Amino acid sequence: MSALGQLFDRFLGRGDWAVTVPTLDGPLLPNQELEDAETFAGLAEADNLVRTEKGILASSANRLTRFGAGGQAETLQEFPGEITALAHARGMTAVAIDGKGLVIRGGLYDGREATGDEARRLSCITALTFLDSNTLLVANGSASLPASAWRRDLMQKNASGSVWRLDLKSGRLDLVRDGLAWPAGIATTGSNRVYVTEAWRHRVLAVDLVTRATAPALEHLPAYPARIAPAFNAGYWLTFYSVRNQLVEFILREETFRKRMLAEVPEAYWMAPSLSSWRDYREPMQGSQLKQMNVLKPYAVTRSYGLVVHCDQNMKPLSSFHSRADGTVHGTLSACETGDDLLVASRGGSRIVRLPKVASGKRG
Amino acid sequence: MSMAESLVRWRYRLLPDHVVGEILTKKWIDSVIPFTALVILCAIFGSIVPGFFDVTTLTNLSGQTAELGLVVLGMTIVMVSGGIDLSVGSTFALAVLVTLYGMNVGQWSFGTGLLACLGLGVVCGAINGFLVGFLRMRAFLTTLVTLIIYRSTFDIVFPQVSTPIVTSGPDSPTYDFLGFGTIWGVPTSFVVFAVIALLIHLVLSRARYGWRLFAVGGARRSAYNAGINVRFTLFSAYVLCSVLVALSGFFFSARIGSAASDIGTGLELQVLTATVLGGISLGGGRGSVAKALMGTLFVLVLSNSLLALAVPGPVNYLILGLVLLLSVFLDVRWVKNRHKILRSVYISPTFAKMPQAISTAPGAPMAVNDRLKDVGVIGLGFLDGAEDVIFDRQDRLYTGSRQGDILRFKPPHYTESEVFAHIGGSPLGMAFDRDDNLVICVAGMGLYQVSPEGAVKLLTAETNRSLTSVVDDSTMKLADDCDILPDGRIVFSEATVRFEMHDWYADALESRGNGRIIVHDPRSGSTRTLLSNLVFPNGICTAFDGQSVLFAESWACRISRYYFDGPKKGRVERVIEGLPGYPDNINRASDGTYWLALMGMRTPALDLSLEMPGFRRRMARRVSEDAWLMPNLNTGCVLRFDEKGQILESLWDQAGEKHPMITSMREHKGVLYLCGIFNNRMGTLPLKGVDPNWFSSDSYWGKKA
Repeated sequence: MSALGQLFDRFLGRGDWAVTVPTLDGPLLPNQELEDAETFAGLAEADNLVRTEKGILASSANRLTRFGAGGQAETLQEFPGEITALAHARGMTAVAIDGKGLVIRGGLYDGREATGDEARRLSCITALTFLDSNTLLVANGSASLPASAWRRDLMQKNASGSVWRLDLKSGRLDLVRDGLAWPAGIATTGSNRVYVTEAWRHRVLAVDLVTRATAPALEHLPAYPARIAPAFNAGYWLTFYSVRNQLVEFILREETFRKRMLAEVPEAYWMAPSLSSWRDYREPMQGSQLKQMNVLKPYAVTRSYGLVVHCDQNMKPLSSFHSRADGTVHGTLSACETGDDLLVASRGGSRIVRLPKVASGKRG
Repeated sequence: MSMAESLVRWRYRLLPDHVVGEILTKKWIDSVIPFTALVILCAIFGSIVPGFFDVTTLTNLSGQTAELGLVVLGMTIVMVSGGIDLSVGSTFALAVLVTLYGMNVGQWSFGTGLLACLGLGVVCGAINGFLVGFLRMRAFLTTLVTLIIYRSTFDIVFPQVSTPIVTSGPDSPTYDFLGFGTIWGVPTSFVVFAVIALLIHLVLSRARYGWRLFAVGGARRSAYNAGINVRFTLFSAYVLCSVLVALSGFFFSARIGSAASDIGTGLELQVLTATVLGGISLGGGRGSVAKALMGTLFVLVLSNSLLALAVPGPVNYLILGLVLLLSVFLDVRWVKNRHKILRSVYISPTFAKMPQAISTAPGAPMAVNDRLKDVGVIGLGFLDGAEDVIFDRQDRLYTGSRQGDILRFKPPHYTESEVFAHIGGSPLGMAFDRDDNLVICVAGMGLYQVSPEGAVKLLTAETNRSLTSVVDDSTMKLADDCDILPDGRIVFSEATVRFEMHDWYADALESRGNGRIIVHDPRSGSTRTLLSNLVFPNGICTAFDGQSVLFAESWACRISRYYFDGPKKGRVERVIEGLPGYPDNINRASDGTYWLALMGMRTPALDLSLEMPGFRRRMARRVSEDAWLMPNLNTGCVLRFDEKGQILESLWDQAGEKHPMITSMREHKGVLYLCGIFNNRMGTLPLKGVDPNWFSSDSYWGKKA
């Protein structure tokens, strides 16, 4: 009966075959605040914002950069691969290199590099968080692809991501949770629970580190969640790869087209979410993106988007900042507070923007 | 090409999916279900009822058809006007009473009897019509009440006159001829009925009154706003209905000659079943005589056959009721879902594998550049819908606007403009003929001509209908670009015959050869199709050789040449294949080459989907139009090619900042003018090393003194 039901759903486009996407509404109501925000610093492939005592760390492809309060940049180090995640605690910076694993810079374990089993298992690190000065929580996006191939992982409908606990002293690697569809962000809560974003399933999970019990904390998001950064009110800043697109949802259910596209079309020209748009004339165009009177409408459907959501301590969305279809501050994968301001790194827009006073708790 | 791909290709070549959608747009599709039901019913009962096809049975059936048919026609008129008349049974009984009393007891002449009977119909109908039409009472309740009133009147009068009616007989040969006579073997009453049915058919489908009736029933408020006297139309519908019912009663009296006290009871059930089953909508505004006849036959065949099979009367009514219920259900579902079915079936993409695109890598003539990034601008923020541009001998610039105007800009700066002529449709391609008349393709309207004084004249809006067309394709949906042959004939492209201009992207999704090239001869006024099954033919340009025209097929990304004269007359040759974008207008360049606008660029994802018609069809059904995969029309490009199809150079606005979609360009006195139908400006690009005095009308018609 369920097989028949599946066929019926498929024919009518219901159930699992529905290609509907939740709307941006309520606290996610679109605005142009990210687009209108002032530029803090220009940085190609800007990502992985982390606050340290000496300034703000950010990554630009394989370069680790530190910014002073005025936005002056200083390149700290170049790595052999793209930096995919950063974490900082007690003078110690954990750097994840795409396909290579974890490197520790400074502090107690300065110079520690991943080897053997650890390097093999953690080759697609998407997020890092210190549990304490000896223990790191690591999100590994996919078992088969590097972190830079996130589009391919989504379009292949993989669910091979995992979350690990790494003991830096002994090198012991404990599996917390696997079978995740691209975990891309981790945040601690002060209890045994941690929040993990599961991007391709559009949700945030609450995982208990002791019992391994997993429950969704925020579901049915209209976008693919990425990193989680702590916020001033014991809440969180949730960042996103891009918004969901009805056509992408449709293609994910069209096996032949999906597979042929992955095999025959260059990745830059896929009909898939991306971190930027309009870089090349061969990128696909959708109906509402057609410019009318030389204007691209902000409410057009889009493959790339800029979105940062402020959530409370229970992951309930409170407010949000957007850069819409007509904007460029897209692919906002990381955010961090500095004083009362919020910095947001936009990979698609190749810059870091500053949202002043949004982290002061005095927003009207 | 792989086996699977060939299979898909042949499947889409041999099975024309788009015909299904086109058949569904036909008006008669509404009648297919009742017609099939009728055929099945006849087949079933024809095989089990003895003597079903005997002459006596058929004669009897035709007599009954005449009587029930008249009532059904009356009900049809009322239902088309958006109402309902439940009192038909009682009116029928009263009519029979008046006729029988007059003819049998009163010994009236045929004429007097008929007039009295019809007069009764007028009175009964006028009461209904006055209550419903003028006093705006609910049709259902009102006629339910008049049903009871008329029936009660009958019940009061009938017992007092029933004996005299039975004991006496009529004295009118005409009356008897109506009841029992035949004309060429067909019952007289049926012949009369056939004439009346034909008349009503003509009135409903051809005459002003019928159209008003449909308008009132379909959209009462709109009909009122359009100036139709809604109240009178409703009133007259009820009067007509009752008159037809009375006539039916007259026929019945002539045939049977007597009456029982229950005459006409339950008639409304039979009649409603017949109308609704035939497909006459309870909501009003839809119906026809043919449908009424089909419904009548269905009901009669059903009830007569059940009678012949000795099914008791109450069971007979029960079955009739169930049939009515089922047809009401189907009617509601059909009216509600018909347009949904049509919408999901109409768009039928086909297999359209694209050839490898010409390289745009650095170094190639098509190499991407930003030469259009810093161009001059005309009419910024003022132009809307400038698809094409052309110049007259005084250097004045002409272009179209979405509001249906032809705008004229004054040289030398082209900042001041005036409305040169108003056409009303969206003006697309333009050309000047030998006598400086402006010839314009207008979307949805056809080919127009504007004289130098600004007088607008329709040249043609119709061509010959193609033999295999399901939907009449003689009228023009999207005349796109035109040019003029040396002998004065006008050749123009019609991009698609299946979609209106605002649905152009649906045609892109189909990528089928839906377009054609048409030639119009102004001397004889004749128009005929030259080439058909072209894939969105767009730009068209008379070649310098005077024997051929070049035309662009947008979704096929190719340029072809059609010879209208010379040794190769009638032949088509490919000039450029595998363009990296979608070609639009073609115009002459000063050095004997041609300018070509690419309105948008191909994207690999869309090209892939063109090989997968099923994917595109499902996308059209499932995904909102806003999210459909479309040609990338946000990047524009202009290129120049020579007579052999060699691309010489290209001009791009890669980021699409100023000229995202370029639909046309024209060289005039050393400057290239750029147009985009969705743009808010026109661009100017001074050309280097070209004849600074070259002007396209000179190139076509020579210099004027």
